[in-house]
Amino acid sequence: MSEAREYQHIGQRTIRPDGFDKVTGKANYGADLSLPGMIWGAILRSPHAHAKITALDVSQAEAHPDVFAVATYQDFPSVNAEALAAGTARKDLVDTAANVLADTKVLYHGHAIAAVAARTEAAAQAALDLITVAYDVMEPVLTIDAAIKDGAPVLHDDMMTQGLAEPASVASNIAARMELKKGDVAVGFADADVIVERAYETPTVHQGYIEPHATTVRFDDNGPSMIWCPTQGHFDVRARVAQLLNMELGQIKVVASEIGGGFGGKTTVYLEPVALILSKKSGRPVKMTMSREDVFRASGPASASQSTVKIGAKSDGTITAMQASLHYEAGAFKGSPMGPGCMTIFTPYDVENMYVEGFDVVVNKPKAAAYRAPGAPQAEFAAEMAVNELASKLGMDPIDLRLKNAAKEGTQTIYGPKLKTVGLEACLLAAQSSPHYQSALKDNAGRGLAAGFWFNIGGQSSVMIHLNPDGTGSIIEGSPDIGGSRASMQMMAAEVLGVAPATLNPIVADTEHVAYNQTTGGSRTTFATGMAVIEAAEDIIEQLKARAAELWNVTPEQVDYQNGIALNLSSDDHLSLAEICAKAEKTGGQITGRANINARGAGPSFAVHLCDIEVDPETGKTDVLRYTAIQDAGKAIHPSYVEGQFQGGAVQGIGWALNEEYVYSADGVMENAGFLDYRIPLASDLPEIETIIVEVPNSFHPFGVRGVGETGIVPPLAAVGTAVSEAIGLPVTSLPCSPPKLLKMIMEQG
Amino acid sequence: MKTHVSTTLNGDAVEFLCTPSETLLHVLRNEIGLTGTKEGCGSGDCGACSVMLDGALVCSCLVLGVEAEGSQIETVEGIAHQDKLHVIQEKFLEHAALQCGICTPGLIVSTKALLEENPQPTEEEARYYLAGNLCRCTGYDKIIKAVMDAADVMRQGA
Amino acid sequence: MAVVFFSSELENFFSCEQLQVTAVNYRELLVELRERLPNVADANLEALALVIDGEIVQEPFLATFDPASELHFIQKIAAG
Repeated sequence: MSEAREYQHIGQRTIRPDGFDKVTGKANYGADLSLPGMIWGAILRSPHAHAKITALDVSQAEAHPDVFAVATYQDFPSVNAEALAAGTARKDLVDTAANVLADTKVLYHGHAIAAVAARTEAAAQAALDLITVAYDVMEPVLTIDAAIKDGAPVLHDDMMTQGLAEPASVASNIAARMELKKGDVAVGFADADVIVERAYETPTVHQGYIEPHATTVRFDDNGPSMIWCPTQGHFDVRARVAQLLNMELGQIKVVASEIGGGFGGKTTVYLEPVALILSKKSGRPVKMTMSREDVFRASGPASASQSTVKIGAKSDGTITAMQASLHYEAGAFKGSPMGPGCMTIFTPYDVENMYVEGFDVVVNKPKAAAYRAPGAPQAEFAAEMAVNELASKLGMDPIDLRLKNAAKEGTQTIYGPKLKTVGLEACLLAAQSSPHYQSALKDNAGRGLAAGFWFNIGGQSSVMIHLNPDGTGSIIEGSPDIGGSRASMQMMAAEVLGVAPATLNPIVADTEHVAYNQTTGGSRTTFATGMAVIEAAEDIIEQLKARAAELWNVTPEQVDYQNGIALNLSSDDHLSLAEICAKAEKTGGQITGRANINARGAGPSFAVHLCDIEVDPETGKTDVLRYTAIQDAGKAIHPSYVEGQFQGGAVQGIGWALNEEYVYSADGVMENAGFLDYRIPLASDLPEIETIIVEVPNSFHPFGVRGVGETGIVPPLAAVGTAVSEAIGLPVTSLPCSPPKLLKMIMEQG
Repeated sequence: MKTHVSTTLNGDAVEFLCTPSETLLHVLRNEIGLTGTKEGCGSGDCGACSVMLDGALVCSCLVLGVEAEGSQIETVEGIAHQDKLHVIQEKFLEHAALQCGICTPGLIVSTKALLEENPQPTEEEARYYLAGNLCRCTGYDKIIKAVMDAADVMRQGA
Repeated sequence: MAVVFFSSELENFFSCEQLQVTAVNYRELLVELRERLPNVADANLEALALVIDGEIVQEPFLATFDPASELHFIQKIAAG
C-alpha cells in the first residue's frame, strides 16, 4: 500500500473489454431483449397529483380480446395491512408497493394505478382507456412550505413525525426530524467576529440517465422466473420482487442487462414487479418500457431542498460555529436523503461547534430516488456558498479560508467518528497551484470554488475466477457495470496474477451464477468488488503454488509466485501460470479462485472544484469558461475512468446549478417532462473539464483505492453558484441560475 | 393495415411491414431486430436514435417507417466492417469516450456524419454539431477529444 | 473499556450521550446495551451501521474492537 509502488497494469489506460460491443451497437441494454411469444405491458397513470381512488374497474380491459392480463395493487400478495408487523423494513415494502401500483390514493401526477398486457404496444396503450377509475380529488401539496403549514392536506393519514422529543399525536407531512450536534454553537457564535447567515434552495432534478426504465420478464412455474432489466443492483431487484410477490429468492433469476446510466436512480423497482405479475397471469413473456415522459413523471428525482446556514468566524479566519436547518422533499413517500445531508454538510471543516437539524417532508411529486451522493449536493451547496461569502467578508482567499479550517485525520465529524487519513488538504493545495487558479480571470466573469465530501461504502461482493487449461480465464463478478468497472476488475486480477489483462474475461453474471453482490452504487465497486477480485486472485495463487509443488514434488512452502511465474525455491525450476494450468488435470482438476466478502474500510473522498463563468447581462445567459475538478481517488486503477467520473459528476452538478429543474403547474403537473425543456448540459454548453487526480491512499485497500463516483457532483453547485454571484455582483441563493432568474435579479438591481 | 416497405439497410436489401404510425426507430428495433439504435426520448431531443437516411443525419424516432421506402439507411451496425472498427470507434475506445455507452451508437453515427461534412472541424464546431447527442455520463470531454483525434487520423488518409 | 457514543437522536431514546462498555465485539455489545438501557429494541440498533475508531462498518455483526475503541452508531449510507 505504499505510494511508491510500481505496477504492471494498475494505472494504465487499457481498452475496456466490453468496449467493442458498445461502439458497434451489439451490447444489449434493458429494452433490447425480445422473447418468443412476448407481449407488451403498459401502465395507466394518474391524471391527478393528489386524490383518493374511490373506484377502480378493470373488467372491461380484462374482457377485451387483445388483452392477456391486468394488474393492480391487489396483485401484491404479501402487502396486506393486517399481515404487516410494525417496523421500518416492512413500511418500506408497503411504500415501494404503493409506489409501483397505487393503493388507495394517488400521490403524484403520473403515479401508476394499473397495468395491462396485450399483443402489441399499441394494443396495450389502447386498452388502458378501458379501465375506469373514480377519484376524490384533493388539493396537491407542491412545496415544503405548503406541506408543513398548518392545515395542509396530509398525504398519509398515518404519518407521525419520527425523531421528535415529544411524540407526534397528529398526522402531518413531516416524516422525520433529525438533529446532530457537536460542541455548543451558542458559545461559538458569541466568539465570532463575523457571521454569515443565509437561506438557500435547490430544485427537484432528475438523474437524467439517457436510457429509460425497461424490462423483459418471463414468469415460470417450473423453474426460476427470469427478469431482464437495466439496474445498478440485480440482487436487490430479486429481493424486492420476491418480497412483493411472496416468492422465494431461488424462484427468481435477475439478469442485469447493460445499463444506460443510473446514478442512483436505478437502485429501486418500477416496472419489474408489474411485468412479472402480468407474465404470471398471462402465461407469456412480457416487455415493458417507460417513455421519457414517464421517466420524468414517475421515476425518482433528487429531492428539492430549502436550507438555512449560519457560520461564524474570527477575523483571522478561524471558524467558530456552523449551524444549519435542512428541509428535503421526499416526494410522495418518506425517505429523502435528509440524513446523509445532515451528516455531510459541514464535514469538510474541523470546527468545534456545529448544529444541524433536518426534516424529511412529503409532497405530491414522484418518490425521490438516490442521485449520486444522495443528500450531499443540496446540503453542501448551502454550506459552501456561505463559506465563500464568509471568505469575501473576511477579505480572505477562499482556499486559504478552507485550508485554515480543513478537516483532516483526527477531525471529529458531526455524526460522531473521527476521520482517518483523507485528502482534502491535498485537493485544496492542488487547486491553489492549478493552472486554472493561476490563470487570469476574464473580464465580466466570476470565479467560484467549493469543496465536497462523500463517505463511500464497502459491502458485499462475490467473485470467482476460473482458469482454463491454456491459462486464459474468466472473472465472474456481480456488479453491474455502469462506467467501465469491468476494465478495472480485469486490471486488478491481472496485476495480482502477473498475466496480461486481456487473458482474463470479466463477466457480470446473473443472480443464479454468482453469489450475492450489493448494488453498484455508493462508490463501492472498484473498492469492494475490486477487493474480492484481488482476494480471489490470491486464492488462485495459493492453488497454483500447491499444484506447482505437486509437479516438482516439493512442499508448497518451497514455492514462490511472482509476476505470473511459480519458482521452485530449492532448484532453478519455474513454471508459468499457463504451464501449471496445462497440467491442472493431473494435479487435481481445473483451478477456480473465489472470494465472498463483506468489504470493510471504504475511505471517503474529498474534492475541490474551480469554475469560471461569464453572464450576459442582457439575457442572463451563462457561459462556463473554464472548469477544473480535483478529487482524491486514493489510487486510480484506470485513470481514464476515474477522470470520467470526475467529469460526469461535475457536468451533472453544472446542469443542476445552471438549468435543470422540474417546473410544476398549480395542479401538480410537471410541465417540462422531456429533454427539450428539462435542459441537461449539451456538448456545446461546456468547455473541456480539466481534472487533477489526487492520490492519498486508503490503507484498507490493497491498492489504496477510494471510491470516486459520487463526490464529484457535490462541489459544482456552489462552485457555479459562487462564480455566478461574482459575475453579476449579487448573491445567488436559489438554483438553478437559469437565464430568466438571473436576468430578473440583474434588472431588479437596476 | 400494414404497409410493405423496401429499403437498403447498411448495404443490404431489406423489406419490412409496418403500420403507418410506426417510427423508423421502432421498425429498426422491433421489426428488423437491430437494437443498436436506441430510444432515449422518442421526441427527437436526445440523438440516441441517430441514423443516416439517404446521406442525411436524422433522428429515427422522428421518421416514419413508411417514409423509408426506397431509401438508404445506415445504422451503427453498419459502421464497422465485420471485426474491423472504424477509426471513430477506435478513438472512442482509446479515449474512454463512453461510460455506460447508451449514447455511443448515436454519437458514432453523428460523428461520422460530422466528419464527412467537415473533415477539419474546430472544437467549437464539433461541440455544436454534436449538441443534439445528449450524454449524461461523460460530460462530453473525452468524446470531443476522441472526435478531434479521429478527425486528425482520417485527414491523414487512414 | 470501549466507549459508545450516541448521536442526538439515539440520546433521546437512551437519555445518555455516551456509555462505557465491557463488550469487545458487536454481539456482546448488543447484549450489554439491552441489559443496561431501556428502549433498546425501539432504537432498532441492528438497522444501523457501527463506526469503530472512525471506520464505518455497514455490517458490523462480526466486528470486534479494542478496550480503547470509540464506537458510534450511525445510519447506513445509501448508494447513489
